[in-house]
Amino acid sequence: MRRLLGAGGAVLLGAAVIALVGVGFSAQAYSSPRGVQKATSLGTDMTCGKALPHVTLSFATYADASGTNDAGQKVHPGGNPSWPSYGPTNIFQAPAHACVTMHITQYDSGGSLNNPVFAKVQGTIGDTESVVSSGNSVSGCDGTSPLTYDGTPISAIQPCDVGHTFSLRGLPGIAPGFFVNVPLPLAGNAAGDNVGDLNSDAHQTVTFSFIAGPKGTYAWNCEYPCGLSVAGFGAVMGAYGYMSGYLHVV
Amino acid sequence: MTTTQERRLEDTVLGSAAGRFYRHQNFGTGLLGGVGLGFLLWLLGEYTVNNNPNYGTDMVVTLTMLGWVIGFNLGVGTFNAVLHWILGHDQTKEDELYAAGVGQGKSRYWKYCTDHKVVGTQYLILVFVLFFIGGTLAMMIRTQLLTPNSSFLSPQTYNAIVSIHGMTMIIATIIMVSGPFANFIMPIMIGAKDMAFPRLNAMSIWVIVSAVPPLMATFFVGGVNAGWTTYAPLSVQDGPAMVCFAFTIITFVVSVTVAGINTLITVLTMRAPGMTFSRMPVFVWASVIGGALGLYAMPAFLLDMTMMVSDHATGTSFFVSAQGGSGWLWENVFWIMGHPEVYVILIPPVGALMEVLSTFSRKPMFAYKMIIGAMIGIAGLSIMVWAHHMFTTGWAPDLAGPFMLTTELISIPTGIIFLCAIGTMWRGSNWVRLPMYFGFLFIWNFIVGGVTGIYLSDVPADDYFHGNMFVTAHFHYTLLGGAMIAATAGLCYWFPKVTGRMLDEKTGRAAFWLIAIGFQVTYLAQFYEGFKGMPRRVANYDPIFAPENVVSSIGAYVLMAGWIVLLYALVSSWRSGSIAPANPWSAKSLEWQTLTPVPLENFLEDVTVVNDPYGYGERAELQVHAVFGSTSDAHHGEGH
Amino acid sequence: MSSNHNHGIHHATYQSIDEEVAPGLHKQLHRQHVRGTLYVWALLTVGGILAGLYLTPILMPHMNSPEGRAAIETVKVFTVAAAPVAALVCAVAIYSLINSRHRSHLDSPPVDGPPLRGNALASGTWLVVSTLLVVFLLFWGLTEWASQQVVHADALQVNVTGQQWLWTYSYPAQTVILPGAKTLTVPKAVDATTLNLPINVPVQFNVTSKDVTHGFWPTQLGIQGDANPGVNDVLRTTPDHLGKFQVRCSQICGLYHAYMYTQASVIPDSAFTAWIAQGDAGRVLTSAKITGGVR
Repeated sequence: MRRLLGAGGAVLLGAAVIALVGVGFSAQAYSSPRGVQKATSLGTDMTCGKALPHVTLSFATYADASGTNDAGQKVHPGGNPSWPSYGPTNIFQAPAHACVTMHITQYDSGGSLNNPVFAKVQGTIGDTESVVSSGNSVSGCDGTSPLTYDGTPISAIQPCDVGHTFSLRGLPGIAPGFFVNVPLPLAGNAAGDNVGDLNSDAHQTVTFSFIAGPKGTYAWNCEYPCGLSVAGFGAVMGAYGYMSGYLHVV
Repeated sequence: MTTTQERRLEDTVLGSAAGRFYRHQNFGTGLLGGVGLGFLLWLLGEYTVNNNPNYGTDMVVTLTMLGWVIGFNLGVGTFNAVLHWILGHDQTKEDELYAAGVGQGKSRYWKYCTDHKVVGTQYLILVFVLFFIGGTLAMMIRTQLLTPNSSFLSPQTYNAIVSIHGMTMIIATIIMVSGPFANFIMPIMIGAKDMAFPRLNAMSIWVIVSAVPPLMATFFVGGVNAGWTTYAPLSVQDGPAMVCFAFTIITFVVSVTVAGINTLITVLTMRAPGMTFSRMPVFVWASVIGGALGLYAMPAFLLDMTMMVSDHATGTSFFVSAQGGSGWLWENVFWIMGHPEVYVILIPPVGALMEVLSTFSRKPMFAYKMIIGAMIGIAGLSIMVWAHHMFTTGWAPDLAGPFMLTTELISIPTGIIFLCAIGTMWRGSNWVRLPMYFGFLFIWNFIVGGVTGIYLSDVPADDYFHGNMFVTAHFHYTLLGGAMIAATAGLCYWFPKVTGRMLDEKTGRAAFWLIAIGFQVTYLAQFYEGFKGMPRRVANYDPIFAPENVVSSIGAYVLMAGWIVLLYALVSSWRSGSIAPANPWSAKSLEWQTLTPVPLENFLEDVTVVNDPYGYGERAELQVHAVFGSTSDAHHGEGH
Repeated sequence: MSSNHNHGIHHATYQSIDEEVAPGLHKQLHRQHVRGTLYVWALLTVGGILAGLYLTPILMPHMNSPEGRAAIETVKVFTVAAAPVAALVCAVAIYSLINSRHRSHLDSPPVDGPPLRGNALASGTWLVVSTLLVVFLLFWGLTEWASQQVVHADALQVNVTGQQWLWTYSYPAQTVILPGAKTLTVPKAVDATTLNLPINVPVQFNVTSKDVTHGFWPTQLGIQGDANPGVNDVLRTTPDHLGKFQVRCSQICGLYHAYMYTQASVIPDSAFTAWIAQGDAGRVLTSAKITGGVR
């Protein structure tokens, strides 16, 4: 009896220690919890080519994670302040099979992709995006000075004009074949510029729409190598939450 | 020696130079030294090399880790003897006795102590700690994999846990028999008074202890993203965590090399008179063969990790193809270590298991010479098979055939091990106590592990199975189900000699059933995952694999519960179990012919070996393994 | 000095080793324990063979190429070959377990067993049989492997690019000459994020990476190869069954390694050509809008 109690107690104690470690790791995994941005509903319309519930999401890519945006939200609370980051959050939520319109404000500088195929818009309505420039003074890589867009739908940008990309696919087994890729043109701000002010900081606003897939979790990451080390995919690129995140389709 | 004489000796020893200066050095001062020197070198790094945007952080971490390892070992007293020599003094007899733990009671287990039995016990505790850490990380993994789209852990944290779980278990399984038992038991088994290099022995345990914190530190500097095999160039791309990881390995290899040399020289030069090689127990052979194989293989790991630190901290490009390097260089050097390394893990526990089989079947080793030949054959062949881990890497496709040949040839000597195991059991007086429970489990697990290995050795089949959960299940069956279970059999077998207490069998058997059943459920489910096509090292998976993952996770919880119950049995029996007689199993090898607890220099009389230790059932004069006392008044002692 | 003269233990010694302990084979077979072990051995062998032959195709997915089916066949054959050996070891272990039941409650060791230090016939047989088995396994594996090294004169070239953390495929402009004087044409180079292959056309994958090592694993084609930076890894197969499957990444490549997978399918030639044609405007092809013939 004493042995049974002792062994049972040891298992319970062990389980408690393991559970504590688990809580620690889970907390560390999301060390800067930034909340989920739920898509705002715009009613039902024909934006995606047929009558569907229409929702919208807005976020931005910042040259560094230290700042605060116009709405007063920290770009990346608890993040490495010298690393570029998507913000104010990297986790989004949208209804299944809805027409989702995303507005991404791109503040960061950029350059060439490792793989030019991601400079083409894929998986959106019409396979196009529309870009509106504001205050940009840097040139494009083919000499266009400054690099500005006027909002006309385009199906690609120059592979050497890329600031970041938003590349989205379902988790394994979720919506196989679903893929959205949107290149975001560069805007000339660098780390330390502490940007986030729509009025004073140069930015490119990219708008696109796609039909969300079935229920499930989707993962997005950026394909522009803004990190260090091998192929520019070290440091910030490999650290969850800066250039990577999730879309929960519910 | 009378009690008064003993006390006078203790006073002299404690009052000696070593006693006065070094009596306060222990694990705690080691921690202080490590943290202190680590911090100093960190400061140095921050103010000198940190400005380089690409390598600065890695260089600072390199310096910090260097400071930790050297500082810890300075603090615990590893280098005391060397420092003595450098300063022109040699150690006196009293200094040496102090270093061997005389007069220090239980506190010597926290200190640098040259008595091989203390070192063996320290290794045993370290092995328990490492397995608990590795097991906890495994519970994290299986909890994440309980559901297909779990967000319990981010993929970055999951990858980091997978990597450190792997490396912790690799370190633990490499030392699980060669640490505790090749140190504690083997010298007694050959009739020696200690190992050939007692100071190197004490160094090996403290050096390996200092290797563990850098491994745990990886979680706090971004985590290792590349598995325990840390393939380049991903591991070059990874942050400073990889530098910490590399330091763990570099330090670990130093320890294992020192220990391997010690084992070899001890067996070569310190056997008791009359112990010819053909009278040596199988476990001694296994320790030597495993140690020698480690001496061959582990330096390759050191080489790879040194190149890795260089690529991280100084900008060389051994492994980055854009600058002229190659990931294949990493992979080849790694597996040149990695395949022999699994036999370094496997051979000593198999040797221990052979001793258990013979004792509990009350029969000699079946085909003794063939077992030795098989172990040497496995070790020799294992250095020629490494590229079977690289069949799908695109490196040297024309070498697929030769490596298939050498890999499949290894199944011949491995099969001989089975032959000798069943030959020893066949028609024996089978006595199934707790060590034999684990012995039977080994037989089943290693059959499954071995057969699934031959599927993987075939290139067309490997083109399906590489990198999927089938491989994971295979190596858990061989390393956990095989080597670790055999090591557990050895632990239960030698427990009375090491601790002086009998292990509580009832609790041990309960633990056994939890382990045995939990293990099959966990890993048979993973074989199914692999057959179906689930890749390995994935934080989330396709929902078609969900049912088998739930089953595997539940099995893993049961398995972990089993190990905890066994740990409870070990700890509670160690503290308050019934006092063990000197030879509870009536075994014939030399460690059972001496007192429990084992005296300072192991035997109170001279040992002369007259037969091998397997004379069960033989006529009287062949039953005796050794005689004790000087030859002039030799008497037949302990043979049965 | 400890005393191990244990009280009252009877040590058996065998005076006449040969007849009592190791009688001739004929006599062996009449012993009950030998017969019992042989029955268990036979049972386990049959079970292993049946499992190998019938369980394997249930456990493994349906394959779409000869290389894939070769993997299934290999598992079947190797299981059947290993079954007798594994069964023998299990049978002896089971016999020993059963044999031990009288002694399980003993606190002190039982009487010694017979001093059987070896049996040349048993060891020799084991060595010869295991060597023959290994030679057979090698023969099987090497012939299959050799048959997979055959290079078709004309194959559809598909360039596979792995990068953190997506696969992309590109079909360069080419004309593939097929048996029966047919041709398959890719008029302009196209990129795709999904892998579609025409049935019965030899295909050559040229696999490379943009950053770190990835593992290109089209799960039902029976081939697999790493995508290494700066290297072209060539893989060849001829898909011969229609169907859908996945390409998964089999070599851990960092943060989103688990999410690095794409759809793949083997489709009729006409559907393939129609799909390729959608890339005319320079767009990147997806799996949508494939018509006809996919199971």
